[in-house]
Amino acid sequence: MSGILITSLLLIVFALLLNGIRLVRGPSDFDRLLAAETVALGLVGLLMLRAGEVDDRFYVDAALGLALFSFVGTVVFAKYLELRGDDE
Amino acid sequence: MSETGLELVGIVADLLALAGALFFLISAIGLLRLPDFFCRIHAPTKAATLGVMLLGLSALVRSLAQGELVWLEDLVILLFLFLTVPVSSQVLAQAARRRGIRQVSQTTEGESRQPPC
Repeated sequence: MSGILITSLLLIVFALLLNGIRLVRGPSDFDRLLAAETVALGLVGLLMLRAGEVDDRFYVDAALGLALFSFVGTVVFAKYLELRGDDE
Repeated sequence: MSETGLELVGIVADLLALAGALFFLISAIGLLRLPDFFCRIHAPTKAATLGVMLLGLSALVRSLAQGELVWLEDLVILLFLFLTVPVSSQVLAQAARRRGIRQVSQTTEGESRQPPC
């Protein structure tokens, strides 16, 4: 692995940590959902980076599946948060 | 492909990956520091999408250099992310607006004079 690649990997991991802070702290549930979606996006990015590096196609399949589930999960959970009663 | 060509492809892919990681870090900082939800949703919608697209583009460049048909799968992921991330963010913002979650004072509807973000 080259130095640039390790640098970008560390940058993404640091960004995921910042997203994790928002995920724990977020005042509303919408903030938490947004942070969770961003974490999934970052994991897709990490998997793509790794797939380009080690020449293994399974990483790309995993990235595609994660992107699919992240999209469907975000839309469904946003609808749920919108329609549920005021119980908080 | 020749030796120098492969080297060039590797350098280009590395630079694309670095740019994508930087954009993703910028979006994470924005998500952490902006004042309310409607400001915060800007960061992952635009900057993180661009960052992940650049990371995927780096993988696409690498697999294009291999000369087989494996690059199609990278292209599928890129198109899928390009279509779905804005859609899910829009659904999220619409849901938050209908629920009327708390905003900072400058983002009230109608008479916004100085946008906070």
